[in-house]
Amino acid sequence: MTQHVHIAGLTKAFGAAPALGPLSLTLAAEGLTAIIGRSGSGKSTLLRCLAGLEQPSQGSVTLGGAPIRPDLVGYVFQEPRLMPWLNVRQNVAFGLRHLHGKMRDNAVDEALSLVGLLPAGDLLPKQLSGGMAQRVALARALAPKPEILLLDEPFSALDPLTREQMQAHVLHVSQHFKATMVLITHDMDEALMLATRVIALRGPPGRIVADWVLQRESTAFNFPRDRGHEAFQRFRRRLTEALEAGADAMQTALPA
Amino acid sequence: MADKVLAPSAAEFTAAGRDAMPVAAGTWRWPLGIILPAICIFAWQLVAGLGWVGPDLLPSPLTVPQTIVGMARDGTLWIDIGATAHRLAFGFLFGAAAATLAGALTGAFAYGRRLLDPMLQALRNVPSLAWVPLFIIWFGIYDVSKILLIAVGVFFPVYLNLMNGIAGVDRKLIEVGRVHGYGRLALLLRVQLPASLPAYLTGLRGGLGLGWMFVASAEMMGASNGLGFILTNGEEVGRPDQVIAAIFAFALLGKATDWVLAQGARRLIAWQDTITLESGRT
Repeated sequence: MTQHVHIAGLTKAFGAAPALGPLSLTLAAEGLTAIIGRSGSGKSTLLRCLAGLEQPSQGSVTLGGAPIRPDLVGYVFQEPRLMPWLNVRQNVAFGLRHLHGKMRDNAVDEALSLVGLLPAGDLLPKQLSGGMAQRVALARALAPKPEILLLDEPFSALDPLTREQMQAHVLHVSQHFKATMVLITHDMDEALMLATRVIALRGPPGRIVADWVLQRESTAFNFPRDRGHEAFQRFRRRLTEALEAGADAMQTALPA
Repeated sequence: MADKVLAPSAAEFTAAGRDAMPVAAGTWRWPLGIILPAICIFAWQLVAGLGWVGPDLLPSPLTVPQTIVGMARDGTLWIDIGATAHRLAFGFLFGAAAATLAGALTGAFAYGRRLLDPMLQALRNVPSLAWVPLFIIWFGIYDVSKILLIAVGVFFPVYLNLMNGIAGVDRKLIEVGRVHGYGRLALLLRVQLPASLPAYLTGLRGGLGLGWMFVASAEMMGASNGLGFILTNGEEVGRPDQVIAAIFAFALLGKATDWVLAQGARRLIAWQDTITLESGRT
């Protein structure tokens, strides 16, 4: 659980259209990195390359020096993508192919407890609200205890109140679950509220225009955070500038 | 904070459980479906009763139940229904099994589709009666050729629905399997087949319907028993009541077997979040 994710010279093109990179960075073994950018900036492409759903055109993605194995990755998509014929428990167990019997039951219980849905185990996806379904998707991703947890705009389809609740769930998970977590988002407040590190991409092709480890930048980013804090607002403005201007100078850490 | 956030609220469960509410048991609905047949029988009685058409062409509707009862009493009805059901059951099983295998291969594997589908699509357009001489030459006039003809009829709806069902499974669900490390076979078994179950069951219902049509054709071409035999025999001896009785038997048995299949299907795909046509519920 102490291995870092290394992205080296990663590029991805779809046909003749470059979508991402070249991009190099290292993601720490713990904490939540938010990747923010406009539509088409390559955020989701980066995440799909990390998950093995897309093959990089060039470069490599490794975990502790080795290619990333699917069983080490948990992925929460924009939509819950639950198997509609499986109930909540069975959906959470979907990623636990190598566990059986009591061990699998325990892993399912643990993941459902983490998202507060242990009593909902027998419900079918059609009986769940949007927020509950997305929490089941989060539990499914957490159940195999992945070393990398990828969250691809998991709150984008939710109403503001449910979204806030889900954000609290992710914050809870990020503080109790030891994994490299990457959150893709459009929402600057979300990134600044949840992440330990924020990376801004601008593209296409997606390139890094800002990369901040937040708690190093300001004590205002110690948890719990206050989005009304002056430093929070200042970083929000800077992030907006980075995304709009795309200044290469923003790659360096900004003063607190 | 965590405990407060993580506890699912009562409102959440209430909202979520909206679709879990059982349908009120014993709810009686006016059977609209009998209105049209009742009008048809009334018109039929009018035409036959007023003598506009002679009984040698169109017997009274009251004659048909009497004919059915008579056939039931002397036992021929049960023998004929048994013979037809036997042929249909085997034809349906063989046709559906072959279609399931072919549909799974062509739906899940591009090579399988390229290899098999062009030929099967061509064969699909061969009229059913075109097979009859060949089957009779190869297998004789007994049950084997009839069962094969029924199997051909059942095959295509099941095959097409399953192939399209598997090939059309939402890419997003397949990606979930891929991020969890599922290989081709595991994806087929755990994602594609369950997801294509509604299409498959639709194909089975269509196949069963065609099976009834093909069993009638097969028996009319040469059989010494079966409902199709009653049809041809009625024609030969000038008994329209017997022909109409056999048509009623086909309609009732076809509807009954479809109902059984539909009930089974409804249980199997109760997970679908769709409008229930039969109840009008969402």
